[in-house]
Amino acid sequence: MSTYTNEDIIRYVEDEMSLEEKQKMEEDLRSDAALAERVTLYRQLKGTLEQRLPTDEGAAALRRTLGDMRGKYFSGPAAEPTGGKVVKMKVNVFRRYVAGVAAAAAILIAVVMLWPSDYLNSYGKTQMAGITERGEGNDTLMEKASEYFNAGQFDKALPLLDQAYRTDSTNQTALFYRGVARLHTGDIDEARQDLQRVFAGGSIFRGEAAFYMALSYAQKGDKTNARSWIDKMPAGAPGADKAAGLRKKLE
Amino acid sequence: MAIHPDQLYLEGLLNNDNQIVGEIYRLFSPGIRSWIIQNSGTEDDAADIFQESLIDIYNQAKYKGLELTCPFQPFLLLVCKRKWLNEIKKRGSRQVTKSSDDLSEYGEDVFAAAERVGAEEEKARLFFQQFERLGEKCREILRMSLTGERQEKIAEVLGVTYGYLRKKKSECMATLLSYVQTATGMTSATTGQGAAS
Repeated sequence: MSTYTNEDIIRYVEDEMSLEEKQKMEEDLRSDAALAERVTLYRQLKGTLEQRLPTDEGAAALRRTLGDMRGKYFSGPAAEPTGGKVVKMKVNVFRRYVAGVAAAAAILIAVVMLWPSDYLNSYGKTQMAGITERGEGNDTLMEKASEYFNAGQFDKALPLLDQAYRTDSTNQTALFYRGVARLHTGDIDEARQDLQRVFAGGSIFRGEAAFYMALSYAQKGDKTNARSWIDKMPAGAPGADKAAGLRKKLE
Repeated sequence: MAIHPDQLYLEGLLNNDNQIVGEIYRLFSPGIRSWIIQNSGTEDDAADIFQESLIDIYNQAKYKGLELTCPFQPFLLLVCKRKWLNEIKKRGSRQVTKSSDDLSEYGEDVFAAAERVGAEEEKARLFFQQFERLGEKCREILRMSLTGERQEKIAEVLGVTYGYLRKKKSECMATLLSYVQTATGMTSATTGQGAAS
């Protein structure tokens, strides 16, 4: 039985193996049914995600039509189309999802009740993704910064993030986490400058930057601006659940 | 095998044709409602199962090129039955024992087609359940990377280096694959280094 890792399977399917590796793997695939099954599973997984990750407007429209028909042809309570999805399906997966959200909400409420006015501690916790790739100066710097950041040592993470951003001004990761770190060290104005710049860009951190802007205002008791920044978060952005909790608390 | 004239129902779902979708509900929902209610379900369960079965059929037609080579009515009934049987199994309820439909007049192809739809959609759901277990950043990277955009462009948008994006994407996919393997009961990946046998 061959001992290929999942990374090897991915490299094979993505055609990232050397010719020699590829030939060897193809030889093994002919004699190892389990390996062939793993390759097939990866191809199915990748294919399904490629097809179905993009928003399917057709499915959303069909769900709305089905929701309407349900009301006409079934006497039970009609499902309400929400965001293009009918939410009444009672399969266990959905129940588990709701249970998970409810549990998260309960934890959030408990945290808020314990620290009623410290919005930053209640809602501001985030982990900086580890940068595992070595050999590139800036990435090594980010790796070190993430260690300090994730340990809550924002004063130590700050100079490293600052250096990383100065070295590469397109590094939105460094800019975002510098903004968050500055928020934690109390440099609110500088934090907002960073977060506003991230929000103005198109990076993955855009929604979270808006959330931390909201948090910076909430922390200072400025509920109007805090709400206004929550409103600017793109739909479905990371941190949307925390934002919903913060909004509730602000009310 | 020749395409069955009932293919028009699949076309209706694909095109979100109000009239055809209405016909599907008018003609086929009473039988399926009655079967589910006879078998431990409620009106609400029947509506859910009917609706989600139609979505499964839509997905198979759209993404897997499903074409109907048999009548729609028994095919839909079997898709709904399979889904309901799985649902009550998950709920731990008693098994379905009653049957009000004689499907013996239909060929194996009807059963095979319904089984394929159910199995493939179950697998797709499992993939997405496992995808949701990934962290936010991983989900975002995969979401952007798997939609055909150039990787260099994505790295720029995400504000990361191209090397980091490739590495991270590969790590995220490997994690996802291991989740899926565990969920499907497949032997987990080995920990060997590189491609070795």
